[in-house]
Amino acid sequence: MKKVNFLYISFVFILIYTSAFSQSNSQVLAGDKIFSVNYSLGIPNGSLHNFISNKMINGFNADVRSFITDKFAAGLSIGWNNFKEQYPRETYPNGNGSYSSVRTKYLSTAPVMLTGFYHFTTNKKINPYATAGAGIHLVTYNKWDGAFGDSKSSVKFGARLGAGVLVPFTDTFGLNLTARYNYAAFSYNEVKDIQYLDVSLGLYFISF
Amino acid sequence: MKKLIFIFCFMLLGFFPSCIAPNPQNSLNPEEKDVYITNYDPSGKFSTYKTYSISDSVVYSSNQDTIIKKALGSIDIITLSTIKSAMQQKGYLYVPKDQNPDVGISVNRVNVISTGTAISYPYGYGSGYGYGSGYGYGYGGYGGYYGNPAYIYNYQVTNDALILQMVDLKDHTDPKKLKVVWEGEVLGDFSPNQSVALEKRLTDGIQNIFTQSTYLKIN
Repeated sequence: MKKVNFLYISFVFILIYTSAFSQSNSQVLAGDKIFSVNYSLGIPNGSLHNFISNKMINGFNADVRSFITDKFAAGLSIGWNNFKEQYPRETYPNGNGSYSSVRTKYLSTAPVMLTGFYHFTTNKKINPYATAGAGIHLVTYNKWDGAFGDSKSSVKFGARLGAGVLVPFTDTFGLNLTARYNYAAFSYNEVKDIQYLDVSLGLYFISF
Repeated sequence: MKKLIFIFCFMLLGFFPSCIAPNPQNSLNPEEKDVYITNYDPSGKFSTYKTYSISDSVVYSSNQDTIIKKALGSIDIITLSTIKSAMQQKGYLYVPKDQNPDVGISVNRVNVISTGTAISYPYGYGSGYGYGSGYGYGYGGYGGYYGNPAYIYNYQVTNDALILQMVDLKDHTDPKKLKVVWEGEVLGDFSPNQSVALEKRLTDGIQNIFTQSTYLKIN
């Protein structure tokens, strides 16, 4: 994890440094497309936070957006966020008795979303946008006591709202930073609907 | 643009493995994978029991073999002595079987080679692991006694178990129908060549099941 953090921070510094000396002069127009690929930090909230409180840079996402007007784009977003937590051996009460185990909790969610983007600008040093999406989440829940597990996987409705910025390095290439609040209608055991924030950092490419 | 799409696809492929669920089998040592389970009968009068006896060997059974065997190898001697030591720490006095002990302890090793096992519990162990119906597998009991049968059900991983059963020899009407008042289990994979010696795992497990059974003590 430390290696990942180091790479992540280095990546951010290089891109910010580079972006300080660059700017896109070209306006994105209707018909243009943007692809982006991003690392993602997942921050659990609600009952998911009660289940797993760890924040994890263990996610990845990609999206493609096609500009319908000069400001509005629609597209598809895919990706995943993984959450994991492990506890040292503990004794848990259970009926007329108890059991003791090393417990591992894991939840993975892989959203596939139809997404809309509203870009306030596309030709500045920093170009903010708002985004909203709806679609499905492929959710995998696992809770192991030692080697004994309880698992559940299902596909559920999900939605998200978010905002981000594009920081161009060249006319066709730049940095994408986005934060999205995600909801998935998945409930199992102690998890009652999934809510988490994903903060993603990556690169985007424009196809004119 | 083709180059960008290639990079895009390459990055997607590169990160694909990170979306696969981790398997704790890979990150835990064998001892960490062990689960220690205890159950008791609320009608058991643990504080009134003073003396106990224990089987003179360990009963082995497996779903691969219809024969139930008794054994007293070095690991069985360690197992029995660890149980005796734990009972002594709880305040119970060991007596031979012919001196009317208050409780008797049977020691069983069960091995099931299949994908996924779990053991049923006579006192209604919860459904948290999703135990479903499966095939029953009985095992031998304390000396000539047989406690409530335990059953192993298919679940998720192959497993072995060390099962201790405490039967009430003091308060019964029919010596052929003894009541199991306590049960302790060490569940894990006991196959050889593991990084932690089985002796250590079993002794740690036995100590744990007695430690977590706080009601096992005399006045």
